[in-house]
Amino acid sequence: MVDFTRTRPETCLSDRALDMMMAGELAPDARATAEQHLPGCAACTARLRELEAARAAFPLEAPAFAKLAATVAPARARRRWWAWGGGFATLAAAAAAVVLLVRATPGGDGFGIKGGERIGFFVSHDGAVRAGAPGEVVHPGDRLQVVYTTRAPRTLAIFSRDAKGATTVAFPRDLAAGVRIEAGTDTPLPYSLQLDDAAGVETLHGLFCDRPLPLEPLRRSLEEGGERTKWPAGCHVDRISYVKQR
Amino acid sequence: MNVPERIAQVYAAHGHVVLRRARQILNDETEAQDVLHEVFASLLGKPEQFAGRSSVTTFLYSVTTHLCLNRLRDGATRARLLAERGPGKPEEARGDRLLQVRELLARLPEDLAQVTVYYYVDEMTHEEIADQLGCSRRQVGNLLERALELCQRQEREAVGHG
Repeated sequence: MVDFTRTRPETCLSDRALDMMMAGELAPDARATAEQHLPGCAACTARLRELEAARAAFPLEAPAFAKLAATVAPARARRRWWAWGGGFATLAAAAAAVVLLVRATPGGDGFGIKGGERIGFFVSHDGAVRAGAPGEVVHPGDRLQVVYTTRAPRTLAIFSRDAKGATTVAFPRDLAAGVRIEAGTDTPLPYSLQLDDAAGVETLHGLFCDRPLPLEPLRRSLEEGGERTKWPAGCHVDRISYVKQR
Repeated sequence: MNVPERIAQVYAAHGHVVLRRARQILNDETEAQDVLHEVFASLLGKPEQFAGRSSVTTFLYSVTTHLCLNRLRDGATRARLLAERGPGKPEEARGDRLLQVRELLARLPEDLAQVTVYYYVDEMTHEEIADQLGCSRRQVGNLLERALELCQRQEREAVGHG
């Protein structure tokens, strides 16, 4: 006989509700109910974290969109663009995502905990994906999926500074200034980073600003000044480090 | 922003939902990845199928469910999926109970199979299923009742033939 019992208590949130909350799609009353329920429910809070982690790890588990799109005839993808407006307006409303993750941020500028602007990462090593913590040991060839959290639209740039001080712009690629990001929790960058073979501690600096700023002077300043770097007014920086071992 | 760029945004923001649910319903990584591909390739080919009348999540739940049920009904795929009784990742399946539900899904009519997925796999409330299907809660109750009756009848018949 098939067992038709359900495992989720009726009072708890379904995955659909959590998915919609993460996407900013819940109606205001449903969102209020969810936000009231979550802090007191360890099971739903844990499930929300799992779903957020799955979203962050998605770029490491699935093929790049460009690869997928290459399998579809381009001429077919041109109709009814207007139908997508509402859907994307909804996507842009993801600001409502509830921030529950608490994370100690090494060296953050006072807002790295609970609800502030922060960066984090997931590591893909030998096909296995895990959440990265400050001081995480990683290896050359690993792929890092960087994620960011912000409550409000900002511009974002991410710099990577290695043990010798060499500093590169990890995000955005091929652009001269930071790019606008929408509010969201643990939103993945559109691409992952492949680690090179330079051993030692590397630090990612996530620079959240109220306006787009030229990146090259900031990169140079970080390369020369390291932790003493003075960041422009209107910007907050969040840092997270990992240890690369050969 | 053109349509492919917008669909790329949906892929980045919502693709994990499609992949996770396909894993839950099919319990097979290769098939789940295929469903993910099929959902978004289909959207690129026919973007008008998302008319903006529901949320993106609701739309993707519906499309994913439909494509997974198609795969469960496909003879060769079904035989392979149902033969694979190894454990999936902890979040992807809840053991034998979901395996049994999966076996039934392949035999139920589309409307009953859909409501069964939403109720027993996704564990939605009647209200959520009504919103998902665009029908009343009473209709959800009726569909679930019919699905249960049909399942029980099929089981009785299977026992009778055994």
